[in-house]
Amino acid sequence: MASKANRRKFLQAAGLGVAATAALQTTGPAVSAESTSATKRVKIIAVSGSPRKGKTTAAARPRQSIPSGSRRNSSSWPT
Amino acid sequence: MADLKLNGNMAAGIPLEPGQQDDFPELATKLAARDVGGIIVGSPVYFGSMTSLCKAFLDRCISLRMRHFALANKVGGALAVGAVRNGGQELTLQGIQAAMMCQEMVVVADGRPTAHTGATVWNSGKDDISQDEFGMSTVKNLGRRVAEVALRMAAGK
Repeated sequence: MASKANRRKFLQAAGLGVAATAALQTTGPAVSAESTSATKRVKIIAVSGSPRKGKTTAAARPRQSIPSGSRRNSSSWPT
Repeated sequence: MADLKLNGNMAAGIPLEPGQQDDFPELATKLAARDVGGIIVGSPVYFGSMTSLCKAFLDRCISLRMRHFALANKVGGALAVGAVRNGGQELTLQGIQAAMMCQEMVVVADGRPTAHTGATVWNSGKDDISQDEFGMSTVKNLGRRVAEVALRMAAGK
């Protein structure tokens, strides 16, 4: 579809872009967790879905070397 | 959650049997606490997706959704550990993040400079993920990003 925007409309749109950019700049950079920690405290909880406690599954599984040329989808290949 | 019994069948509308209990209520109390601003859920990658334990947990969280969306507006981050570099970490993250969105959580990824889909870690079987420098940087950036957004939301910004 051919664009019907003339130079004036293009510049108006560009102006809006500049205004939006300026508005973003006034909000400043991302808030640093360290810099705002004095104002409010929040807890972050980590939940692990590993069925093995204190040891990763890959490390707990007996490892077998995979001979060169063997199929990678053999049962010894990690999932 | 390795030692916890979680019954994900509740997501299918199957209630616990009379007298039956699982370990979710204690976990739910911790997760839904008002001072909890963010939750990071991690899972190993099994066959390209999260573990059945992780899925059971996310499914079991339906009771929090039914409890007036008790996790709403908490910041959610996801972490996946795969046995190979491209072992399904991103698919696992997407599965976790989808469940978070169903809870009206605010999902974030790892922040800059890595800034992609979340924490993607590679454990090559030596049980030492510290060797995965890029993966560890996504972990740090995820934690920082979750904290940043949680603080912003707590401050009403």
